[in-house]
Amino acid sequence: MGSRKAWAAAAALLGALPLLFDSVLSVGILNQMLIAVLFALSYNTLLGQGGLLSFGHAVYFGLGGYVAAHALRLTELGSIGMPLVLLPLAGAAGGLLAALLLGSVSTRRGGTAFTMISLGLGELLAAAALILVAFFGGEAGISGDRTAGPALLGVNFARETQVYYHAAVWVFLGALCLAAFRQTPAGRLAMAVRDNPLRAQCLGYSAARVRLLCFLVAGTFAGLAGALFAIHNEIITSQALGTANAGQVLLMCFLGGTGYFLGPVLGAVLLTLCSALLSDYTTLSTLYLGLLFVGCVMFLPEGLGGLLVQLHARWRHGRLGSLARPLARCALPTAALLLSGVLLLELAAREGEVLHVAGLALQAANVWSWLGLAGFGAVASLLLRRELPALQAAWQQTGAAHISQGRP
Amino acid sequence: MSLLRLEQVSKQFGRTRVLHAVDLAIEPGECHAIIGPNGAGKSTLFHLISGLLRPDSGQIAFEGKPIHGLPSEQIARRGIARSFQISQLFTRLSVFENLRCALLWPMGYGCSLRHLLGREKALNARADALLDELGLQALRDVPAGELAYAAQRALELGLAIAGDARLILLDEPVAGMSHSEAAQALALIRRVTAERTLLLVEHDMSVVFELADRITVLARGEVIATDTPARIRTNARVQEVYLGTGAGGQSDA
Amino acid sequence: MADALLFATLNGLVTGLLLFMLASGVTLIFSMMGVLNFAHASFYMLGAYFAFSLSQHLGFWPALLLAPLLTGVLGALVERYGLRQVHRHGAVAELVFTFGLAFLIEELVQLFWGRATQDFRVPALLDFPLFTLFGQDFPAWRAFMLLLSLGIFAGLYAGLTRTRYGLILRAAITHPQTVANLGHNVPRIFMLAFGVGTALAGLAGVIAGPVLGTWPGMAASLGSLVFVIVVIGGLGSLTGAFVAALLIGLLQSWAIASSVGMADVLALLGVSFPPDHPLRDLWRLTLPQVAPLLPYVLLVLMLLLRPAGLAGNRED
Ligand SMILES: Nc1ncnc2c1ncn2[C@@H]1O[C@H](COP(=O)(O)OP(=O)(O)O)[C@@H](O)[C@H]1O
Ligand SMILES: [Mg+2]
Repeated sequence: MGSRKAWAAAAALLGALPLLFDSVLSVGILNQMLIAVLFALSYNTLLGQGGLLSFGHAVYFGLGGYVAAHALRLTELGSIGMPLVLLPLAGAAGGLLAALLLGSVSTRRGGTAFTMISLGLGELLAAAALILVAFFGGEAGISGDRTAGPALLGVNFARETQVYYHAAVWVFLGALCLAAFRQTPAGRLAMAVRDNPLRAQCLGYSAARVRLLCFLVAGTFAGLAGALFAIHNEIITSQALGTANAGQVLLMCFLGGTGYFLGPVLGAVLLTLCSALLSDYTTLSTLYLGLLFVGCVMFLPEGLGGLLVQLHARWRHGRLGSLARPLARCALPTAALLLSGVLLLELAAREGEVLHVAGLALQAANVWSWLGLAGFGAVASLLLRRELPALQAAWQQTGAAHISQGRP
Repeated sequence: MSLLRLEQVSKQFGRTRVLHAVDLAIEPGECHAIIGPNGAGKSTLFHLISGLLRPDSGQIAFEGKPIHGLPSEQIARRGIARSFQISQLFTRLSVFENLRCALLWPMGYGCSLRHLLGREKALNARADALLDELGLQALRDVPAGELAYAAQRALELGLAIAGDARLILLDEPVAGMSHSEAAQALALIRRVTAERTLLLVEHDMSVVFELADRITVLARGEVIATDTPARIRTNARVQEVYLGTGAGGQSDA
Repeated sequence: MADALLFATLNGLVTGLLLFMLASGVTLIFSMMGVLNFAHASFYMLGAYFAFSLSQHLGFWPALLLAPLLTGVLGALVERYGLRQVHRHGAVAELVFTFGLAFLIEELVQLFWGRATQDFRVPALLDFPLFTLFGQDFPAWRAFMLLLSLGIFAGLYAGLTRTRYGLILRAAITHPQTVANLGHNVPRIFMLAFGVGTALAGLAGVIAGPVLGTWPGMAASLGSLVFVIVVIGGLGSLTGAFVAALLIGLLQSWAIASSVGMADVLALLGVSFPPDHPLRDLWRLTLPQVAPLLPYVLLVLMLLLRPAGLAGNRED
């Protein structure tokens, strides 16, 4: 299998990353990234594979995290002595249990009905978490000390890199399982039910059961990711199971592309990086992410992953060359347009402050700053409008050629 | 004993009566055609048999056991497979995957989590053999949603015949095909259903008279006649409601 | 007791009608385009913010008229240049688009107006207690909200059933192809309807802003509730949405006004639990506490027992 090599490469990369980026801060970001990757993969098992759009997937992530956090706390109190490396299993069990309880309600029907139920259950659990203080810990959440458990081979998880490697092993195993699930009869039938539940039923499969199975798998691995989250932060609050978190993972999957196994991985990595790095430079990082998301849904329905796959196909057939010219002609106006947009937004966000760009001092109070930027943007967009058709035509052409060549 | 028996089956949508007191008996091994004008209720009849709709009254029995009221997947598992008038494919899966999905239940995999599809040699070999039989080998890896019409119809047929169903329902399998495509599809149908029972809805009279052992004529939701092709040709009531006046003149002669 | 019930009922009616103002737009848009507009409550928020800013320059009453118009125009633009583009990518993409839009609008509102609650007040003309009963005031503004929303429905109903545009619109909902064949511009009808729906949401925002607060979370606080109503009422049914909106408005209002709790029930049954019981939170629950959960409980129950909704006839 060619994919053996890919998995080995992934494992090597996971091992090497903390050596390349070894500050405490960057290992922390890597950790967040790992957790996001597993969460996004589990979400895409629902969305991409099963065709089930959920707004409540954070529930399973959060509950898994709570189970792990409680185990951490009890270990700290000395009531139980659970080794840390087993906590993710407890989290996965928590996610599975929650998915079992709520799944039969949710998955009877697919489509919009599923989406609405997932939203309802998500809101219900998030609101209930604030009321049931004994389990959810109210505003303060549940916290624990991950170093309190019995050390294993001298590893006590005091250092961030130890936490990273622990998470890396679990995420790697989780990804392997989810990839394997796509190759099992059940996983393939989930795609079949996604495409046509009616036909699946007439072939002898219960669409509801297939959906439930898919849902259980997704819930289990969301719980696993939640446990890793609780271990990494040593605290979990009801925010983890709220709809904002559920929206975040949806964003990751759409950004990366729901049609590919690696799409959510790409999305999770990009999004974690962006939110970690952008916030150093701007107060508007969530706004930019929102814009990126909406732009992606509008213009790249297959996500960045889809774009990369398309580019790769053109490259393989040696047709990337004919795209280079129109692409280069579009690049400058696009960059200018983006720049003016960003500057306009930044200007709006900074009342009273002066924004220094390329020797210019822009001020929110100064009308000319606004007009100048708007004019710059307008010119850029006019240029882009002139160049874009050529790029679109070239894109279509190379694509069509690829299809007719690749398929009889 | 009949393989499939419908007794006094009725169905209405709101106030529209689509099927009224339909009696039908399908004998093992026969090829039974259902003909009737558009809107006669033929597709609805198939939906009732395959469990996508429930009859308002009446009984449907397969191999002597009642099946009306069972969910469609249970009916499929008892050995009734069907095709649709409008192709119902797994659009984003490849042609090969479509056929493989159709084979999972008959070959005992069900919703297994323990097998990896790539390693199941018997399964893949059977899917490939089916692909050959349908003449779709060249389109093996094309997503079903991107197929041309005739290839979609061939795959639709393939999904119906993939399993070991004892009774196969085909809803207008060759409608919309060119002459040569239809001839090919018919040869295929005859070949793969040789040992099985076939219930067929078809508009093309030449096809029906060539293929069917018996014919049932349905009009406005009621069974007008069930008989051999030769006798249906000369049945006065059938001519009246279905074959039109031109054919009516022939029967008088 | 009776006074509390009366006031709870009046407040419930006001909330219910407000919710229906939003739900009617969602329903209208869903029946036409098959899209559940997640961003609908965001237009409600925009209405409130627009009205707040406009009222500072022009006074409240012009703002009451202009803010919904502005919101509606914005909605129509979103339909024309956003949704129509996404429509080609399928239903999931559309839903996700409106979800992203809601996110974006919230961020933009924070960018332009900040995170704090705005000082958007009831206009002085209506800032007095309409009547006082059992020592409790009923503000004139709430009565105005009640009357205005009732007036809007009467207008909407008449518009949909009596006018030429209403007839074309209703026909376009069920038979878009036929209407197009008759020579009407269906995409433009859809754009207009989207504009009208969002304008209604904007109007709801204008009248709710002064009492429920004009803050960046106001969309999220109502958004999911509107969905619950649309689903409970039966996707696509205006009457169903009306009944469900009133039901939820009243239910929540009554629950908040009541003082019944689990403790009372347990006392009635003669059961008691130690104070440090692991399920102690459950035994101490009170009805006002669970009031925010009720709509969601109702939603789940409804989807289990009667999946098509109160008045729905659509099977997904
Ligand atoms: N889901 C439905 N709701 C209402 N009427 C239907 C429905 N399905 C079919 N019909 C009506 O039932 C009649 C029979 O349809 P059908 O069984 O498809 O006819 P046939 O396949 O013989 O052409 C038609 O008049 C059709 O309009
Ligand atoms: Mg038919």
